[in-house]
Amino acid sequence: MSKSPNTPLFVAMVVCVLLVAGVMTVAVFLAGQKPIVVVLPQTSAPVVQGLPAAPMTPVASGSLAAPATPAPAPPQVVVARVAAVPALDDVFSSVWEAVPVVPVPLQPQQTAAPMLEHATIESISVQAARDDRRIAWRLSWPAARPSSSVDTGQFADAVAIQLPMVDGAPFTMGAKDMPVRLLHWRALWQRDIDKGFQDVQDLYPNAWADLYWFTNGLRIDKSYVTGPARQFMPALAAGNPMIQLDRRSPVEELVAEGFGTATHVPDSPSNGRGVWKDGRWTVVLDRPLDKADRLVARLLSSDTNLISFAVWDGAAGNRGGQKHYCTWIPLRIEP
Amino acid sequence: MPTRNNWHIGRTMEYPYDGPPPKRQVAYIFDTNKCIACQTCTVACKTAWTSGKGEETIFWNNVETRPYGGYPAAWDLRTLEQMPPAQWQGRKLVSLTVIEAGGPDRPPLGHMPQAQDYAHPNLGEDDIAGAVNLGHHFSGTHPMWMFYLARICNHCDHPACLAACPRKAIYKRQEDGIVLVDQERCRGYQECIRACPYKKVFFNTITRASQKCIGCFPRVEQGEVALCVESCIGKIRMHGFLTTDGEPREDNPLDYIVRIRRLALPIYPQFGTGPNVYYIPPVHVPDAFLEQIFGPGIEEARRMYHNLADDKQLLGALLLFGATNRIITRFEVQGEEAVGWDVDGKEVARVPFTEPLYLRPHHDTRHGVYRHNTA
Repeated sequence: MSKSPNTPLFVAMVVCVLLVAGVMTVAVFLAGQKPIVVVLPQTSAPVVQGLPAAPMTPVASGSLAAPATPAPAPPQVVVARVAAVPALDDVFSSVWEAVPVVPVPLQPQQTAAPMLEHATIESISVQAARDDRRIAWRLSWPAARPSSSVDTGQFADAVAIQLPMVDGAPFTMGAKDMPVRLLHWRALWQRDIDKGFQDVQDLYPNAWADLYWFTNGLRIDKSYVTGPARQFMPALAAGNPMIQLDRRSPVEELVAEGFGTATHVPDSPSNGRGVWKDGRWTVVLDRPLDKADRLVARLLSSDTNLISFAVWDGAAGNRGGQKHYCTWIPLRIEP
Repeated sequence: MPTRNNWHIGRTMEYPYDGPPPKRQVAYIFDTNKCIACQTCTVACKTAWTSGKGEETIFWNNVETRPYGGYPAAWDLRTLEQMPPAQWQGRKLVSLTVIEAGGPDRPPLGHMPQAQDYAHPNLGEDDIAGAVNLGHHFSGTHPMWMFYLARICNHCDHPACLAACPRKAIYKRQEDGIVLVDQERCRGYQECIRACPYKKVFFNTITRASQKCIGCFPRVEQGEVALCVESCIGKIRMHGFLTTDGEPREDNPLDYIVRIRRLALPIYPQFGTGPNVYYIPPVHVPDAFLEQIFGPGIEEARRMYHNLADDKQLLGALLLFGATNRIITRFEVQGEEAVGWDVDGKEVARVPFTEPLYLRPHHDTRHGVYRHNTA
């Protein structure tokens, strides 16, 4: 008796959801001005099961608008088995020349606020290689000039890879109880490593101050970190991972379970190096293949994995969610 | 999006988050007629809170000259120029707030300043509104005007910085409504800096995180006023709490001046963030200019200010400005004195309406010398 009045409501809801999904998909497509890369993960597990609202996770679906031009073949990233992954100080090693380059189209992030209004980077070139001990990705994209410092209204170039930690994690930063792992490189952190921590005097050579309390001098040194001087840098005193005066890796690992939840992973083993040369960034992300590590165990346990990429154009004000990204792409690791 | 009531604009508005109002709301009243821009507040704040590396151009408290000053440069004009002119029907705002103008599921409308905008905190200082031409003279009100506008974080009821943060690293304290940036969680995206229409969130180039006025919360927790309030030599400031859990109280000086009498007005109420620094508008500045900054109610506020001598209750509340380092939560006019009590119910201020007069004879007979008025 009570079911029949609900049936039209249910149908209406389904129609609404489909309508919203369709509109969102078309909007994303139009904004990106390029075909959406749609990937059906090749795992046997139904990875789309249990996902939240469809618009958040464009997965394979017949309802997607057909692009006017033929869609390129969905890319796949193959992690090539090499004798030895090149050392990090040689991002242009000849070893990389033998590894296939996969161009991955990117689109502006327009799912969650704050959105990226205008895309400035069309695609990222991806290579991946492994040996017995390490796995590395070499990523490259155009940048007319490197943006390697931060200030008010000024942002650094960056790149990240995202890997699901469980089946079904949406590519949009994961979801509750469906975490993703991120390896995030920033040009600012590379600069910190190459030239030393970016100090005020590096940004403003004529900057002067009479005194910074309890320090040895105007330039940042150990005295800023130890003792009472520390409390004059609140984020440092609070343990914010954004400020590391003795940074050892330009790569940060994060876990996320949805928008706004990206959280720093302390003492992660990732390393990397980025070099800007001839109008391009070339960045290598490098991680030891330690089988005790949950991420590595997951990567090696299956020959089909997923990966996605994000690129930030610092000069265009990209930061946080204002980025270029792509949906999941199959990742196959050669044994 | 949840709907919240905003009494500044006389209507409800959409805001990304719902939640009960804080138990009480920290608030300040600044009397612009008394400020001389000595910057003692600025220095007190800077010395206490932002003297570290990376904070060189950060002033949580600043005093700028109107009409031409502004720190960071043109902070308000750059937001105003993106919005249609504010439209009021009485005390109701019919135009859009910055939160609404951003669009559905978008961050609040805003602009991103550049580093150099913070390089000249005294830009336009003491500049008057127009040139003094040959032959100009006083007749009634001087045609040229300027006034000093002391500014701190407004610890808004509906903060745009909080609404804009994609990481929820900004929060409003339940106990007193103070708005804080979580220094551990902030990743320096600067969305708050872009969104705050008052430009009172700052980027620290060294810690790479955003920072803002903390409302001197360690002092507030002890019942003490903020350092910018305590240090004010002109006694232009009062610091206290607005009642949020019921009707405004006649014996709460903040409630009385702001809510009941409306002598002090919010700054740019049309932005819609519910700012909690309230200004007694300057009496000598054209209405049109003041209405843009402080919204409706300018004329009534000016009339009240001119009539203070005959308005003992209101004058009594004003006499307590700068009278104590304790936060006054209750006041009363007792005969010829205004009396204030702190949160513990302890009397902390007793100010006479008329200062006692002491006459000292020109000749000091004890020391056999004549007194000079410089002695």
